[in-house]
Amino acid sequence: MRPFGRHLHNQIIVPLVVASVVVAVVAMSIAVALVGRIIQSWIDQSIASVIVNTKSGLGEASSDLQRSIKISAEDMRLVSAVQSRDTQTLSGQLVLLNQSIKADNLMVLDHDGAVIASTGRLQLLPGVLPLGGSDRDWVVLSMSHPILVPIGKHYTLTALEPVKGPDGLTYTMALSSIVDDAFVAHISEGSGAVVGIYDGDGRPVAVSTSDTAEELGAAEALRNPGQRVNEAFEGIAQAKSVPLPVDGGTFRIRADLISFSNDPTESSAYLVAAFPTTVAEKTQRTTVNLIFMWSALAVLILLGLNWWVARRVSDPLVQLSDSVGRVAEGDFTAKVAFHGTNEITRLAENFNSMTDSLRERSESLTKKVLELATLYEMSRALGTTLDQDTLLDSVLDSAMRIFNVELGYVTMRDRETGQLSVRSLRGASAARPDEAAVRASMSEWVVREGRPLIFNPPRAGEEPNGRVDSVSGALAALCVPLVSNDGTVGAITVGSRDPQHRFTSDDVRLLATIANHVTIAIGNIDLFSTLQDAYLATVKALAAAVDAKDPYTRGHSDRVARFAISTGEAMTLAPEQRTALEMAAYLHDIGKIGISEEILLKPGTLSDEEMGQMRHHPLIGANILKPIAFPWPIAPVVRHHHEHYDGRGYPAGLKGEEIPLLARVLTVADAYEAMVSDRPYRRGRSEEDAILELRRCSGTHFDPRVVEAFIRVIAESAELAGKTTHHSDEPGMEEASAVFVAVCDGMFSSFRRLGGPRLAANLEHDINATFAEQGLPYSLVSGHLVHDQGPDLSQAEQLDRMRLAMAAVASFIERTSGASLVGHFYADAVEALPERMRHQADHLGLLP
Amino acid sequence: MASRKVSLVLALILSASLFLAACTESSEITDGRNAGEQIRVSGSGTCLPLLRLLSESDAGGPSEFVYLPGLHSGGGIKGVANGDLEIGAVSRALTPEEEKLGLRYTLLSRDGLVIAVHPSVPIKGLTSQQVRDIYAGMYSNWTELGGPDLPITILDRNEDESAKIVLREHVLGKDLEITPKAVNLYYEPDMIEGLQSTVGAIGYFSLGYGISQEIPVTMLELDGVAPTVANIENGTYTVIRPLGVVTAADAGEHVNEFLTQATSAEAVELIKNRGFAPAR
Repeated sequence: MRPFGRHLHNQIIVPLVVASVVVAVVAMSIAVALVGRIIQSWIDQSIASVIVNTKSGLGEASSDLQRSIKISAEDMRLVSAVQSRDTQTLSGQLVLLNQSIKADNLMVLDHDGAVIASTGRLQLLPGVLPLGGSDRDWVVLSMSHPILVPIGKHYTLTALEPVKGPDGLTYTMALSSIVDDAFVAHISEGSGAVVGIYDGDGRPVAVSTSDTAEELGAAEALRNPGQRVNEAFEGIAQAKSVPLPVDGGTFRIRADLISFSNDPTESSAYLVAAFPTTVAEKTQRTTVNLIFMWSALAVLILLGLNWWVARRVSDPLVQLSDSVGRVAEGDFTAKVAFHGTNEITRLAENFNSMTDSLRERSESLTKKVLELATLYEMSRALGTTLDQDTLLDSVLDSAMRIFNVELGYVTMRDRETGQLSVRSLRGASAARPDEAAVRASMSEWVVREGRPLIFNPPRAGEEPNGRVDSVSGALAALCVPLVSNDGTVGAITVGSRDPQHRFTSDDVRLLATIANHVTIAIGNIDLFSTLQDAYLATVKALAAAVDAKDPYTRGHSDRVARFAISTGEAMTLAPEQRTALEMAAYLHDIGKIGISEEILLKPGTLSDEEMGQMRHHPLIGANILKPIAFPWPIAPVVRHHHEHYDGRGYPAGLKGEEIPLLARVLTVADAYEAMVSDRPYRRGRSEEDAILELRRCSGTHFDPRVVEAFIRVIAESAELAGKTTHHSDEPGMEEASAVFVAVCDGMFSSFRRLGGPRLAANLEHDINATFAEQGLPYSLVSGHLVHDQGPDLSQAEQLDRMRLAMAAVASFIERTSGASLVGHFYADAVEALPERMRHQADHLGLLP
Repeated sequence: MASRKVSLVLALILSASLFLAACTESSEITDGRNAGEQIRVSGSGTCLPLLRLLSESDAGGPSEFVYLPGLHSGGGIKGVANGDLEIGAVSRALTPEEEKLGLRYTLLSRDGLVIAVHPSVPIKGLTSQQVRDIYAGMYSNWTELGGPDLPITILDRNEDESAKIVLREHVLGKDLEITPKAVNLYYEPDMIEGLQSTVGAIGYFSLGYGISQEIPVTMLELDGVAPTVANIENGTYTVIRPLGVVTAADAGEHVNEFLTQATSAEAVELIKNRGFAPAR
């Protein structure tokens, strides 16, 4: 999870949260304002209704008073008491009347407004002027009406009623209710408010009684009017209410004017209602709290919901984005997995199929690139090697790499026998399969038919066919023929032991392409080896020319070539270098053609001048070879084969590594052969001497490394020869024949050196005639004994024929040059032989 | 995920607590007082304050006393006789007819009858003769009796009222003709109210009532004897009424218990303190 990396998540959730918070705040503000206004208007209405109720209570009280006084005024006893002028009687009647009316005060005033008699709480003495004296307008006062008036120490609601007095005077009856706390409580009963009455000058008169502490506080505030009450008075015109805080609660107060419509004096008072708002405010606070809480809860729930929705949307997108990132980095295995059936799931399915298809394409592209790279590498390898086995190995490796299989082999058909043989094999358990296996293999069929062949293991559910390639043991195999111009020359097979592996027609095409390349390369190699053979034949012909010029050193080039090749192998020279070395070895003395025969064939030591002539032969040789465009650098080898390692050689006096490597090898081989060979003027040294001499001159005359390798080669061949000597004294027919030929050749060679070529040619002719006459299967061809292949004979018969031939040769030489010389020739021939062949010649009785 | 769940739970707890705070209202526990047997009381208005005094003291016991509107002494006796009342208040002696009803009479106190004036009349006392003359209508202004210049408002009771009977017996004399200027008031509270509220008024009422209710009037010495409990006890103030109750002979246990308590020593002490003279 990446809590801070999920931008989409935040982009979804932040605006929604902000929006919900804003909506919540706006809704809360509206709700709170609304609640405030509702509560306020409720309070205002409540105060208004308190005032209306109180006024109506006051009106009722006034009506009651007026009703009562009208009844009283019509009481006959009272009327007669008034008429009688008897104060005692009037007073008594008033007491009696008031027992029924139960008013606060009842009195009768005379026409001047003075009390005649009074009963009640006002305790008025007779003669006082409670409503004012003679300055008042008694016409008005004596009408029937209510009036708010202070009487004595009290403020009263008084109803006035005229009564007929004696002598036509009009007296006035006055029935009063004292406006005291109880009265106010009565008229405002049930309003739930504290009500205060103030006189016309705004002085407090009475306040309704109260029970609770906060109402007592409010009543106290109304009794002692302060700033708030004054504000309420000022706000009468606007019907304004004013808050009034008291201990333990809050009130709102509103003032109003009290007057009576039927009061001609227009007396007035004020009313102040204090309505408790503590409960209302508590309700308002509680409501506001609830609104806040529910809003907070709603925002929280929305937040949770938003979070969930945002996750539902952003999680898949984050996953998709991650997967796309992985795909972009080349990881085509990236997958997304969602459950459900909505658009995102479909997107995920499409994405997955897209990556699948991308992966397939990428894999097939990778395979193609690998194929191309391998093909390129293979074609380079095809161009660089001239060795068929190396070629086949490398091609097979490449093919197996391309097809990613572990088995493979190449079969080639022998051109003469037509037999198939495995030439290169990889991964099979048997190193070399037998012929039967090859014959049973699929490549046999492919070579015969000239068509490719696939077999794949059966798929699950199919019947197993049990086919296994007999050579490689593959369960799945693909084989294509190698087809050249001459027809099918072989087949290449790749296979796998994996039963799941399947070869396709694409694979056939690819392997066929490889096979084409291989076929062309094989053709090239064949062509090259033909060319090489042609070269070798030419070179050998040239070497024969030297031999013809210098019969003393006849066979020298051959032997040097053999030593040189062995040494080259021991030094692990490249095949091309070995070929060049062989050529150079055959041709190294070709320059002797340019040396006069006197010098060349002169027995004994040469003079300095002759020696100087003789030393020209490497240069002459090089010049002769220069125009021939050998594919190998042969001329320099010939030129420098007489250079010494310490620089004292000729012709250029090169030193050490300056001398071409092949020239250094040739120098050693040439010197050794010269040392161990016989010359007309001396006998050859023994092999041991020659090796000692090589060691002695190693580092001065010869390259030490070459000498080491050369001595190793000589030692190995000696050991091989020694083994043969020790383990089989009875030579085989082949060896016997070789010894026979060698002895004959040696004798002829020796005879020719002594008798000259013409004499030797004559002798040859004669001997051939004798061989033919005696029916011997031999003939002499230019000094060499050739064994004609005749009917198969037993070993003993062959040996007899050899002895006969030998005896014939010996008798001819004796006849031509005398018996004494025959021994010399024999010795010459035998000494040229190696130790073992000498033994054999003696053993076989070829020697006299 | 976890933190979301925690915040939700917190919000729920918060809301629940706010709700509780808003809704908590102390429900008033109504106190189921075992109302005892109802005892209906009525009769003489003079006697009722004494009975209230006693019933509100320890003597009341567990019973609930219901005071019905005044029926005067005779009404109380009739009420008990026909079973409408348990206790009838009586402020006079029983008539022979009434004694025949077979009710039980228990004397609780002797109440002085005081002659009083409105406080606006600053006199200390009157003689019996002066009282007789006033009620006979021979004076019309207090100046004639050495008082202020105020007309005398004469308040009187009906002839069959115990107070009037006792006043005639001790002060007015049987044959005195009452001036027509006097007004008759039906109930003792009316008399007291009139006395209080009318300047220059004169009247008479129960001493016990006046003392126990602290009525703001001037109680006059009669023939130089002040109307006090002590003077009643020592026999010098003689204008007195017997205050007692009648009950059915077979009245209930609660009524008997109340009567026993009402005549106990503690009750006597209480009665004395409140301006009533105890029954001897």
